[in-house]
Formats: sequence, C-alpha cells, structure tokens
Amino acid sequence: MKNHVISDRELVKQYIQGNEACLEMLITRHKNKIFTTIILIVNDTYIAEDIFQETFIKVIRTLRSGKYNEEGKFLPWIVRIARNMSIDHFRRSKRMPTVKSSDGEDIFRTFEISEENREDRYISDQKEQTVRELINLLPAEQKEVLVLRHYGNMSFKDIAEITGVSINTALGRMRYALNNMRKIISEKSISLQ
Amino acid sequence: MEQTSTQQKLLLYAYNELPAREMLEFRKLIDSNSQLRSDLDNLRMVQARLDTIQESPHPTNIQIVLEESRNSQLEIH
Repeated sequence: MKNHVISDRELVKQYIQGNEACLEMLITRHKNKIFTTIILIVNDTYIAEDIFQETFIKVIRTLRSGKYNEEGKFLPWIVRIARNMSIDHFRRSKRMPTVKSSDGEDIFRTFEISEENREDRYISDQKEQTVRELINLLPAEQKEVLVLRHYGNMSFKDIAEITGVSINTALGRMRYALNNMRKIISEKSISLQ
Repeated sequence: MEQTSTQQKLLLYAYNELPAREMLEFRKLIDSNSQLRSDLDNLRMVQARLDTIQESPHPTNIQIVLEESRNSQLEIH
C-alpha cells in the first residue's frame, strides 16, 4: 500500500480553512529543522524556545489573516521568519550570540534524558557539541549560509536574497564553510563516527 | 573560473538544487572525474557530521503554540 503524504501546501490550505490538526502536522514535520536552525543562530536553548514560539505565533497570525502567499515554500518561509526574529532578539538585547558551553543547557530536558540510555546519550551529546563548536568557529557570514542551507532547508537563491548577496557569493561562502569544517575535522582527527 | 563554477555546481548537486536534466549530466561528469568524486565524498562526509545535530523544541512549547492557534480560531468565530 502506498503511503500518501499530504503536502505542506495542502496542510496550510486546510489549516486556513479551520482544520487545527493540520498545524500540529506541520509543526511535527518541521519542528526539528526550525528549532535546530534557531538554536545554532542564538546558541541558547531558552532563547531558542522563545523565538520558536514567537515564530509560530507570527506564522499563525499571518496564515489567519490570509496574507500567506508563499505556496510550496512553507519551510523556507518559516525559517526566514525565525532568522529575522533571532536577529531582532540580538538587536533588542544589544549583544551578539556567543558560544555556549554544554553546562546548564539541558535542565529543561532532564526527564527526557532519564528515559534514555545515559551512556548513548552522553556520546551522542559529545558528538553534537563538537560539531556545534566547529560551526561556531566559522566566520559569521559562512556560518549563516551553512545554517540556513543545511538546517533551514533554504535554497541558495533564497539565502542570497535575504542576506543581500549574489547567489555566487552565497555558494562561495558555503564552499568555504564546508572546506573549513573538513580541514578542522582532518587536522584535529576528530572522530565523530 | 571554470574550477569555481564546477565547485559551485557540486554544491548545488549535493543539495539537490540542480534542475533534473542538469543533475543527470553532472552525475555523469562526477562518475568520469576522480577529483570531483573525491570532492563529493568530502562534502558528503561534512554533511553527515552536520546531520548529527538535531534539536527539538520542548513539547510544552508546542502545546503553547497549538493553544494559541485554537484561541485565535475561537476569536475569529
């Protein structure tokens, strides 16, 4: 039997028509990509939770007002909102994101960790933290393109548009970002298998 | 210049952004060029590392968003 996957477009349409369950499906489908993108921009779990919530409240209001016109591009549209909200947050607080240590980050998730195998979780956390630190070592412009493309699923064309550069520049930044990461991984013999 | 262009195309290929026909043509080029194949392998390796990061928002946060949605629906009616 074939699995029928309802498109984002259809879910958005049905949600606007009043089917609340469709929003839950959209969130379930995209929450990790959106949240990972935000957390990599702001480097703080609590701020990321706030921005995630603010982003979806804006999404809900826009959809309800009938102003949504990004058919077929639902995820990049939300990522764009989340990115702008993250930038606004730092403008308001007048500080730029810093690299956050792993300490004190997971209090919010204590009960979830206790349900998993602690050792596996520790190893997985270490790998994740190492990759996060590598991303934070990148120059800001390279990091931005990498996060928006790899985690936010935005096309290079869209990234070029929102960052105000040519598509060649966006591609160039991504290339340098990935090359830099590869070099660091090789030089430091970082094992992430 | 040509080198840069090919490298940029490699990125577009790795992120499935080339049009279908160009995808096939570029795949042939990769198969016939060992340097390009090696570059793609390196790229895939970094992509796999990046995939180790996957964060989820707290379930309570999602419930707040869904409640906000239900409340705004009620306001409309």
